[in-house]
Amino acid sequence: MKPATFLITFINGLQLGSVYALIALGYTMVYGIVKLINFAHGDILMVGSYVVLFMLTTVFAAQTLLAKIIAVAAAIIFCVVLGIVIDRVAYTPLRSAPRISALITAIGVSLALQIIAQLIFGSEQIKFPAVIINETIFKIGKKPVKSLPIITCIVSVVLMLLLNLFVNKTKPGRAMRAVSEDMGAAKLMGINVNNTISLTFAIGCSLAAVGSVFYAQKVGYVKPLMGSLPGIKAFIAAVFGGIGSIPGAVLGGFVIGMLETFVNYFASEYVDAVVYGLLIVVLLVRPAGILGKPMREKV
Amino acid sequence: MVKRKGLSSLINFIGILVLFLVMRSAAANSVSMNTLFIQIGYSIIMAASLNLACGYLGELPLGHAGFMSVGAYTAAVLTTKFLPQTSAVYPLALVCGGLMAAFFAFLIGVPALRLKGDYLAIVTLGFGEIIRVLINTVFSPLTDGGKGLFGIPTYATFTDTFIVTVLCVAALYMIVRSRHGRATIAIRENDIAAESSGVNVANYKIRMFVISAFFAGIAGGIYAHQLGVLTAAKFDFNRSIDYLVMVVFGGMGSLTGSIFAGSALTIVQYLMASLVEYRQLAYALLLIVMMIFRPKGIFGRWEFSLTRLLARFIPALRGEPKNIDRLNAEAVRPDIPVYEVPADTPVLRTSHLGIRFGGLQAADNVELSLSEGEIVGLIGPNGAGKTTVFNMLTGVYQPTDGDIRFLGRSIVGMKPCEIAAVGITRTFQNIRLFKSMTVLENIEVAFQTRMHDNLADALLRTKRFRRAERGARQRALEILSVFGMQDMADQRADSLPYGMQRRLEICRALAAGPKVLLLDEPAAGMNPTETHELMETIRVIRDRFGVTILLIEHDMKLVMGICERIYVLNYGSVIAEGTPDEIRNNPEVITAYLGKNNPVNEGVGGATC
Amino acid sequence: MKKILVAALALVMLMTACCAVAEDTVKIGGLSPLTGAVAVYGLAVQAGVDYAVDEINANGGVLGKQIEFVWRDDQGDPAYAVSMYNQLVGEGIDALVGAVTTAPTIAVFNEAAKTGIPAITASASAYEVTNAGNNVFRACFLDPYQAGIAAQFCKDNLGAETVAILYDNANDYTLGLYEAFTAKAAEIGLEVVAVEVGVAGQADYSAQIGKIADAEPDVIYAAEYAQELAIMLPQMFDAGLDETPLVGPDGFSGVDSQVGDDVGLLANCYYTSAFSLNSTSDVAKAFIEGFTAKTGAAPTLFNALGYDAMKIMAQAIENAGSTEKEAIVAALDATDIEGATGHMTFDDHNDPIKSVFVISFSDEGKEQLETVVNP
Repeated sequence: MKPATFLITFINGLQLGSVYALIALGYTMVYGIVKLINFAHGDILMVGSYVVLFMLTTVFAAQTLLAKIIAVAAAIIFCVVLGIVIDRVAYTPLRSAPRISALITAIGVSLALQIIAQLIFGSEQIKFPAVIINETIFKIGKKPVKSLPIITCIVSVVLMLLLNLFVNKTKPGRAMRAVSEDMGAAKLMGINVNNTISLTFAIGCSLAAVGSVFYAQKVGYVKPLMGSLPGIKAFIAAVFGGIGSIPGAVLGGFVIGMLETFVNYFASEYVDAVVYGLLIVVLLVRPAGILGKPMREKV
Repeated sequence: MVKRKGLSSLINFIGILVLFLVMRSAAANSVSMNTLFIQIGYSIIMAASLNLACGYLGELPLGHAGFMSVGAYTAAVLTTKFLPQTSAVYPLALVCGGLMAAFFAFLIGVPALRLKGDYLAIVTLGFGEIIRVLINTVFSPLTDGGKGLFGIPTYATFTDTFIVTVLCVAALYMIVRSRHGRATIAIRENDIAAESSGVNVANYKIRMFVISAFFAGIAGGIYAHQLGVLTAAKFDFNRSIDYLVMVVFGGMGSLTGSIFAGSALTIVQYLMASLVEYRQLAYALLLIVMMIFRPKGIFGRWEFSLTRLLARFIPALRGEPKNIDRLNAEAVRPDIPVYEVPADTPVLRTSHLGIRFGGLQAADNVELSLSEGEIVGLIGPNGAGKTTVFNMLTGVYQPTDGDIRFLGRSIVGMKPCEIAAVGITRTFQNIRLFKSMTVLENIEVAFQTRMHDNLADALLRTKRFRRAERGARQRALEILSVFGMQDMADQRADSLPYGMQRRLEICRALAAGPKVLLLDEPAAGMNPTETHELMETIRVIRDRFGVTILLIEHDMKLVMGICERIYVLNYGSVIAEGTPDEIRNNPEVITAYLGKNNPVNEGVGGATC
Repeated sequence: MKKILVAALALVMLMTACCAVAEDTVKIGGLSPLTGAVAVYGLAVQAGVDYAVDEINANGGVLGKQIEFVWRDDQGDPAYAVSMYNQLVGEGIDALVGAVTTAPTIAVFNEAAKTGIPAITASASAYEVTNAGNNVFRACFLDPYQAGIAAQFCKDNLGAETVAILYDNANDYTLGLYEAFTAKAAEIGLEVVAVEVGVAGQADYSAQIGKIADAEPDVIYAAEYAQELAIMLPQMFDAGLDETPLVGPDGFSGVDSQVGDDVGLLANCYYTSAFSLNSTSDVAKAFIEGFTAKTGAAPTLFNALGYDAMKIMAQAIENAGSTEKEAIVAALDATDIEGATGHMTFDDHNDPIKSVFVISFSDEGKEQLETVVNP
């Protein structure tokens, strides 16, 4: 591997990793609080990118800076509202049902989102407009180092730090931690559990919406099924890092993104086997994930 | 009525035969029906087999399609490349496919089933993805990789698919309705209680997982030999989800549900073929609505019985299935172990027993000794480490120091189920019953280590199986009658009043035939009358079942009333030991309960909470 | 009881009678993935077939009857395809056009071979597809054929000595191309310096592309579809491969509409195809003009293949003079037709023998004809 290629690959891995981390945060927070693998989370990513696309091609004639900002804001708001509605309509009624029923509902929601997108926008991939500036910063030989990966990493890391502060230092953050620890006790302490859960969905979905812009611009295209693959990868990242743990999701995202990129370089035909294989090994050695807390059942 | 069992089999056989003839006449006239029926057949096998792992065992496997692909490829590679080109080899290929899938399930299951719940789900999901990559890379000389395996002989016909489906579902039914099935369901309901009742949880999880994969492999073989072409891409996560949907839709823990959903959803897909765009949307919405309004699935855990249905119309078929008199014939009861207590040896003795959780020394240098037939109390303030001691005695926790000797033999390092088999059983502070099972079944689970019929007996319904089942039922009823609970035998365990639930737990612990019985706060939550009755019962148990009893209790009236000796635990250490009178007047005990500077010396009895 | 029996019998007779009366159309079934991951190709083939049906019916149909065309969605799934095929057979179709992707087509052709119903696929290009029986045909050429021509083109026209290959090992189409290209490259002395796998659906192929860049090939052969190609192209430019020629199969068709304004990405792209918008034949010109007028978009390869498959089938029915299976199959064997994708006859394996166009892109991103290779 040439040094220049290594550096570029490394940057690409970081970029993919930070997108995975943004999505993984949504998984990990929702799982931490309602113990639900929200399979529809990857599709929120898809919805977010379609909203940006719609705003920048149909609503605004020119893709000015202002238009781009409004488009991204619209995507965030849309995803947040969608996330809360999904939770209230599809998941809240199942809070006390077996967890697997909620899981099936999540799968149903995921399918529904994909099909609705397909009915509206068609199944073909559509070119995604450039939202974030992507100029060449400098060149190593013939290979340009571009700004998009760098911006992606910076924005992701900043958002994660903010989130960590929010969860650990603010009152709503404390309520979230309380609900995830013991929903019943939190209710007794006067915490509005349903609102706290909605807040969790809202945060997860807004991060997914931000992630969607980075992801869609990286790929260059959007299509209805675009969310499922990064969704599963991000979920793996969350499990890898220790589901329920915010630093864990970030670590998992970066590890999976980096691993995927480098395995693609060295043995591209085995990439999925290696990623999933590593996941299995990690779970067997440390069932709670790298940064997760092991739970002991009280007898 | 005498031959009711035989009659029921006959009715079922006729029912299946009629169904077969009706379906075959439909299939004979229409290729379309023929194909559809074959698809329904393997869908049913997939759903029913997944139900074993998911509905009965209570795990969440997300890679069932992976096992299907292993079976499909194994069978197809055999018939296409190795075996003679005749449909006579088809059954052999199917079985090989099933075995290979079972083998993969074993490989993945041994490490993965140590994980719980969703983590197991992730590992199986990962397996499903990995197997696809392997089919396209490492195994490609056999599987032809991403190009797909072509030219597979299309041996699958309606008749053989029907037969295989019936056999598979029947086999699953036989497994579920046996002591192995009871053990499996007990694991789902409460794995810790199951383990402590003598169920080897790890072993059963693997066994059921492997059986589930075996049938998925068979379904895969049918799939391959219907289509004549295989590509790994078709066995993706979505296919696993399709079958999971069938299981949940029909009802987790209902084979009837799997049969229904396997058929219905396959037919729905077929019929909705012309509604291209809105079909999938309708399907997705159906899932959501279904789960919101009926999360248990259509059938819940209900099973259809043709005999029961007919009995509604034909009174002659109404039998009394649990008639004890009839059951008296040819029964082999579960073993009641005979314990040889060596002279001058305590039944149970701990030395220097201690355990450390991280930095916390939860128990330290605990020395207990129980003699044959004693009733001994273990008391102490909250958090003194009493339940921790129980957990060490029963293998739930492994002690970090010291030794536990049962009848002179060390039992440290044994699994809870092994300790139960050796002769120590327990009840739990927070009741751990197998809630959705009947009272009778709760007790029958505990015969696990005392019965000798194996899985093959259950599958073939041999004489040995039937005798053992009758014996188990008789013995369970006997134990219940000691507690005056025989009339509740068929009620669900969680429908019992609280006091009865505690009693049922004691019954279950006794059913395993222990020498030492550990009772963890048996009187918790009981009113004075119930407590008084309980005291009587404990004495009766000791005398009738010849057990030695160690009990944790906060109710001092009970402890002082029935215990011959008492150990007092505080901060993980034994601070006093003696007769109730000695303990009542021990200043150290009073301090432990009331604090140092309390001048009032009322005895511990006054300090209970 | 007797009455009911009589009534039922009468009803059955009535139904048979009315069905017999309804035999004034020629019924042809179509199978195509109209939903799911490969719906893009299914819908394209459908549009081509529908256009041909309209054209034929407007000109009086076949055997003096109108064609009644019935579509079924196979979702790209072989099991589903067989079900849908059986539904079509149940509806009494005289011939089948479909399926579109390889595995479903093989599964359906296995069934079709049992009854001998005449069948043609527009686009399933793996060799094994027409193994099933002598009643199954295809309108497209084979993967090995176009991959071989692509290898020859790399060496002769682009003067390449080394090549890097990118393909998807989970896809029969790209895998077949990769194998055929590698074989041909070895034969003609084109050195393969890197082989990378890019499984469809990934967001990021830059690692594989980076490795290819490290190998510094004279040319890249990408056995990929247009959708993946569109994602890969900017990543290739970012890896410094902007001046390395990129050659691909007919799956590239439609990439120009994918890249939109970034026409610079296509500057060094070439692909082999059975169809060119710059084709000089009258049939092709008429098809391009008519199809564009009807749908508002210029036809793609898959539109053209759908059109040709339908035309071949219709001509065979006409030549057979009846809807007898054997007669149609015999007529299909004797096919000699000028289609939108060129002149076609069938070889012993029921595969068409036809010309290959090598297509490149103009500075405006429009397809142009680089060269034509005749069989």
